[in-house]
Amino acid sequence: MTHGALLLSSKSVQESARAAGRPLRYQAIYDALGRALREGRVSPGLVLLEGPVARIFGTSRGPVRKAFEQLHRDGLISRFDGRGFLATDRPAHVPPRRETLTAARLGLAADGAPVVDTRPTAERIYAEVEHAVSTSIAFGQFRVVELSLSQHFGVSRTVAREMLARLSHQGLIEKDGQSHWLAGPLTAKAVADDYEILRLMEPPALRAAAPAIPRETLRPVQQRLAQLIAGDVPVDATILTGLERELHAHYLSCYANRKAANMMARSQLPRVVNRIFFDTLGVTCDEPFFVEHKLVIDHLLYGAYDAAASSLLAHLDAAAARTRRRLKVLSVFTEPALPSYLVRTC
Amino acid sequence: MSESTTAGGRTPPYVNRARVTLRVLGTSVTLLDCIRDQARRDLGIDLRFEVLDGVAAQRVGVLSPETFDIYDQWFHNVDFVWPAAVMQPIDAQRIRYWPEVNALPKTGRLVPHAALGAGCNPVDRLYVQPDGTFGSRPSERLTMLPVCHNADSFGYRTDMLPSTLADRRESWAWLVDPSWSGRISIQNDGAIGALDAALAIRASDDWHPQDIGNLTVAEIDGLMERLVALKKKRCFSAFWDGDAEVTHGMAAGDIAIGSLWSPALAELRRLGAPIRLAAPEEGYRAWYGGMSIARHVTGRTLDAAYDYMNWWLSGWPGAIMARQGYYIANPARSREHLSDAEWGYWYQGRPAARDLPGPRGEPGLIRRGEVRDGGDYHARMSRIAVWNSVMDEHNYLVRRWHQMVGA
Repeated sequence: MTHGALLLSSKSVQESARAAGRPLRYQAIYDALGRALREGRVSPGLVLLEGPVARIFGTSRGPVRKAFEQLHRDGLISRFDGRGFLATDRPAHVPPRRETLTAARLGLAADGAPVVDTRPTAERIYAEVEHAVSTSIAFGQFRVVELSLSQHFGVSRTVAREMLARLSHQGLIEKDGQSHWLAGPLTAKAVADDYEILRLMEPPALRAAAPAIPRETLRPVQQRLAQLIAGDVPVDATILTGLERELHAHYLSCYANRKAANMMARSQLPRVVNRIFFDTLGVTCDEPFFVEHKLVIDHLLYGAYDAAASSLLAHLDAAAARTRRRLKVLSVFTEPALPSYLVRTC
Repeated sequence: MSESTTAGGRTPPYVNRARVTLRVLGTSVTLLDCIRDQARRDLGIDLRFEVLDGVAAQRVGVLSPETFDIYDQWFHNVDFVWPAAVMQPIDAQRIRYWPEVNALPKTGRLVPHAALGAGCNPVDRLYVQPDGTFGSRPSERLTMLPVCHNADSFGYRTDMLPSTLADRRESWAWLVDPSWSGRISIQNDGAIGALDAALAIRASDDWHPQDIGNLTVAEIDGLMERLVALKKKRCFSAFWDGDAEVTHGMAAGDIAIGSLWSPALAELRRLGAPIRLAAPEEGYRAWYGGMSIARHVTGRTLDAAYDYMNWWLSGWPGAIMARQGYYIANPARSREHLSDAEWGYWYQGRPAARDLPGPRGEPGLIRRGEVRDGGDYHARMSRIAVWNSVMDEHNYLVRRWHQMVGA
């Protein structure tokens, strides 16, 4: 799959961004670069090219071109005798400097979070599809129609097929006897099965990987969890599910058995239940998740690897019980509007 | 000197004397006008009842908890509202008659040898546990105050009873018997009506779930397949949401047999329809109603919430509920508000010594000599086949159930 094929059609993504109240891409790029330039975070004379900047912001070149034009009108960047623009208002006095462009070079890293989704368009579309499919399964069984999927995003059938293969690899869809891709239904049994896999595999995997996990990567995680427990930082569903994904990835980052790691990555229905639950009802800071994970990290930092593995097992057991109860609550939620490529089968 | 200052010339501290308004979300099962009016008088508070059908009330309970102060529903709904963290624990010390509440909600049965019944037994979700979840280990903090309860079955028109069933013992199998020729109606809540359907299919077909109160995916599929087949044969006339639907249907004879709750039964009796509530040989589907306090409630509203809940257990409301066919958590206190004839009929299973009034005082709801289905309080509440339930697979069951109903 090439990103180029997907880049042809970010129209619906743009529309959904507008609908969600997010700023337009070019505007976000213009704002971020403009701020960095005004605050002197970009070396004078740096050559700004559309392609690399677009990759950094995770957009196509169009919005970057538009942002450059506006920055030029503002006098923050200048044209010169080469491709692209110079990061200076005095081109006659500053020599052009060609360097590999990164977010840091563009003075963006200091902003903390990226100003626009920095994932490539293909990734963003896939994330949108994954979100829709994983949401739908709580409300029944759906067929994911390849043709409608390709039409919905304006991508080729090949690209749609690639996305379906990836969903299947993640364990979110599977083929029925007639070769239709089916998603769901999300059942307590399927969630319990995933937890069974996780509790069998994750604690020993952590035990095996623990000595190799660099300590300096654990301390910020420990601090972040402590802040969340203290209620010092706001938390929402996105942060929580992102954090969960991060933590489990962290535990397995130094785990060499890729086959086993893939199996665990496929067991993500629990995360789906919790995401829908928290997306709808919000998260409170007394969420036990934080304390349970901090125990794991604390033990890892003390070098108590067996205890870390035991704490992870205790967390998985407690989370399994919580998720089973939360899945019941999902039954009172009304079905959200779903994209047309998802067709209810039962 | 203005009238608002004291003799010493100082303004007294401001005292908020505005009446407290207490908003109660619930169903027609308990939120009767006569209850509201009497509570207003007795407690000196403003009381607002929001009456919805059970499924709608569940949704509001979980998704809009700021719109009410008290959630008056059923113990199986604790499985929705407690994980959603929208309620606050009730302090048992502030419940004046808590020691009088009998063993049924506290231990799961009235007498030690009685069957516990499958499904969501109230005791398993009564007490707040140290980790904040609910469970049966006693504590001083309650998820929901147990109030009204009953053993339900189905009702049928005695004048329309098919001859094939006339001499047989009442069974849940009747509820899906084709001889009613399309005049069957089942209640439409996945936690209640689906159990009526499950009890009926289990009694009539080759479908034997391991635990009828906690069906597996395969068992739910088997149940739905059979119900869809019955639907195709036009066995059912409707699936009802509110009392009014089943009352009209049964009064008109469009419905000959169906899930039937006490308020509808009382109304049908008032209309003179020949209805009998069955005492099925397999046992009853039981339910336990109660009240929870929304998480946001504090201060004077919280005091009013405790006053209101205490009032419910103080005797008079329990007598009103008895006339509607419901039992109260501490029956002895309601005894003094009922005549001997009423106590004998509703609680002791005796023939009515005289004509008895209904919950709103309507005369002659129960005719002299009539006997309540299933016997006395202990007999009825000890023959529980299943409690109203929110199963592990409830989300799946509900989606399949609605699909079947809409098919």
